[in-house]
Amino acid sequence: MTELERHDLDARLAEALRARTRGDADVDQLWLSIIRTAEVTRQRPSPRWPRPAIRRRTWLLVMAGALLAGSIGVAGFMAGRPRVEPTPVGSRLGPIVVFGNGGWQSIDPEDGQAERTEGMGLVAVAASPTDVSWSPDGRRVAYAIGPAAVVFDRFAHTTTTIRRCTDAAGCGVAWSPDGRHIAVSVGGRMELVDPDGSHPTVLSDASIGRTIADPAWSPDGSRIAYWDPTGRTVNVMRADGAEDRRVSTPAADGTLEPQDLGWSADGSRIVFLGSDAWADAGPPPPGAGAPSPPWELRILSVPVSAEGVAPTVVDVVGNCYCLGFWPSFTVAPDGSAYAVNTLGMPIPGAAPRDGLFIIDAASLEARYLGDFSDSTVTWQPKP
Amino acid sequence: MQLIERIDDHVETGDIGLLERARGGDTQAFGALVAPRLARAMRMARAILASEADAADAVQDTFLAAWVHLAELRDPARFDAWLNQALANQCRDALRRRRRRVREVRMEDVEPVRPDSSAASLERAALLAAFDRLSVSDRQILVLRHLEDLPIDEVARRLGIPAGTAKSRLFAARRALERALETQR
Repeated sequence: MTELERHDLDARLAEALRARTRGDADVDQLWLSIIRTAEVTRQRPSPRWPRPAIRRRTWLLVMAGALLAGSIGVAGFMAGRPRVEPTPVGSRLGPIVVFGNGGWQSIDPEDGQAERTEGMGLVAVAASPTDVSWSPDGRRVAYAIGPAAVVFDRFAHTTTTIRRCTDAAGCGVAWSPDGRHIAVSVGGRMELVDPDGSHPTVLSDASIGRTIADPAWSPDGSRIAYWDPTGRTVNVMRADGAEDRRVSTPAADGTLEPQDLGWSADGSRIVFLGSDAWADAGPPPPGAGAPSPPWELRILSVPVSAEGVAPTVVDVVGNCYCLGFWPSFTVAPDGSAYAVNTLGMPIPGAAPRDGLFIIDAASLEARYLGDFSDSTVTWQPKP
Repeated sequence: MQLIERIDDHVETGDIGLLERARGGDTQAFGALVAPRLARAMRMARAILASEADAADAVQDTFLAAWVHLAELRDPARFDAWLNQALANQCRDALRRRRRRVREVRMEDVEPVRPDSSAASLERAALLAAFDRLSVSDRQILVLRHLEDLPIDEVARRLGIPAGTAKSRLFAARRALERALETQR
């Protein structure tokens, strides 16, 4: 079909749909019916934690405080006082870092204590980054937020835009293990850029309509795994863009898109957050008054050497409708543990619990770290 | 900075206040949230279900489910995406019920229809028949793009997905429509 024919098909479809929906539906009567029924229908109780808007206000207050403290710090520096450098959080693995609402918090994986709150050079931003990747030394962080991929230096407090993402495609970012490059997925392209945004190199330019998302470097820096939202498969390519191939079978339409690809420590498997019904998903059973049946959230893995195999379940880590909440997942830099921000984590002998959990990769023992609401979770390399 | 700050304009400031009040059980606030969204939701449901009665049921169930589960909405900025997801699910349920119901219809209950045999009508009927063979997700994104005439960014916002994903899903939906049309020929 030519471009002209496609345009014509779009126009004819629009006209046909307008014809189907022509005539005013009686929305006034419907509105009355909805509100009257709502008046006699009980809402489900709120979760036990503060509501997000309240949390947001709390966060903004903390951010404002941090900003004020930062300003005082800068003023002190200008006055010739020694500048206080951020100190790394002491732990075996380095801190888990949750991003949201224009800042981040470092969480000690040992005790769940939030060690510090920092801005990202983005004042008054109430959005979370869609993808985050740390430099190997933990000094800088690359993230994608809306139409830009940027690098923030947490010591120099500088922000550099490394890639404009087109209006129709978000970006994914992944810092190479040697720290020299950042892989950026944008639309159907996988590119490498230097951390200052220079020397862009196209690794892969997929055909129109295909997209590449969520790049993740192998521990040895030889390969890049990514999610193909069009084919709904996990793929892997060599770091020079060659040998681009599908690793998993396609995920069924309507299931949770894999989140936050990572690698096992030995580089033999790709690990990610997905949902049940990976394949052959039939229609969901009618929900009992709920908008939809909740997805069972699973840590899944697939061997890198595979060519089109179904992922295997590593662990079940929750259960959510994922309508107002998006789970987040990350693998520790040494591959020894996972962190997941989830709803309904199954707890043996107790009620399921929401929040941030750390899971030992070998024993699958889970520990609760706290409730960090809707946040993108990453694991900072230990400086 | 300006580039970033415009990202979170998903829901009007007034709507956030209404959402807070509705979460506290205020039906008037909920009514104010529903009113501007009702006609749009009905258009979506009518386009997908091709039935005024089924569409009204799906829309009513969607908003009532939203009312009951409002406490589970953790990010007010995603309210519209949350509603659209719920509406798609209600439409899926309606289509499943319809499949079951079809088996119960006796032929004598079916009124004869006088088809409009003009070329334009036949072509439109073929196009809508192909559209009705698509998944609800495909129909939903095609309606947002072509009936509502929304730009891709707004389609993405309404579905709560990245713009890149919306673009690829739109492409896939159109390909599915082309294939459905080809199999009819």
